[in-house]
Amino acid sequence: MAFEEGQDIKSVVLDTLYGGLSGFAGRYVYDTVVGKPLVNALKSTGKYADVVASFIFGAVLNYAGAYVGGKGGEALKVAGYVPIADALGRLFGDAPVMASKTVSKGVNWGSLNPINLEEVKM
Amino acid sequence: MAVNPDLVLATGSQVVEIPISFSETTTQSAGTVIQGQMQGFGVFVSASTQVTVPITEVWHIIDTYNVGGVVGGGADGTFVLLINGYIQNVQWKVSTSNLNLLTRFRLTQSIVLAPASTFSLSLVLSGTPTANVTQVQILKIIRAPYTG
Repeated sequence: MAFEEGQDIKSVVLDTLYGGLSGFAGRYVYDTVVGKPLVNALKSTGKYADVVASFIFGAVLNYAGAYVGGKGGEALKVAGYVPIADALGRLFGDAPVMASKTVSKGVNWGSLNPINLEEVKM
Repeated sequence: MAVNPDLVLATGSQVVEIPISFSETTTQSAGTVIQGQMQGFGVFVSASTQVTVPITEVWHIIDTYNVGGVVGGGADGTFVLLINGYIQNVQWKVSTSNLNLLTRFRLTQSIVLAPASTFSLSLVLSGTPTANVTQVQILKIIRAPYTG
């Protein structure tokens, strides 16, 4: 992933963290729940099938595991992003560098009332 | 076009500057309405004539400008801002929102875009372009997490 304008170190750390964790988790779950039983079943059919099965299923499972991990990661990100980002925010400081420079502090931009721009130093 | 909300939720209020492009052609004339193509919501997000504010955010339009005024070969015109399909009672011209003008058009208060609202910017030409050109207008917006 790359830095985008306005993005801070916090979101980069989060993305990396979630990507890594979820990839690992997805791979583990897929390998143990689906992969092992399949390979074992094919192994029992004969000698050559043993080698072929290990090879092909190894490759397929690798891909599938990564795919499932990616999907899981998205869900995990949606569920956990905000609280964890909040915690990280306390560690690293409130807002991204760019925002703290350009968004006026002490103004409730999240409200639905129009802000008097002449009173706000942008 | 919906906009990905997670960045602002995670990091707090931030400023975005949205370039809006208007394609002018020599076949247009005074009164022609051109819908602006809004850009700047990420590398892989295509330009869109209408943007939807995420339900978790409040946006404030705080400024609008262009660099250099009316482009060579283009025509002057009036910008019309539509929020949720309604024309807003604030209009300005290409020529008067030139960044280099000391007395350029300025907003005195922010234009609020509530969660889930849509907005778009149109240009009503006041003359005939003499060439096929693209006029670019910037909207400066603060995206903030909705606090109620």
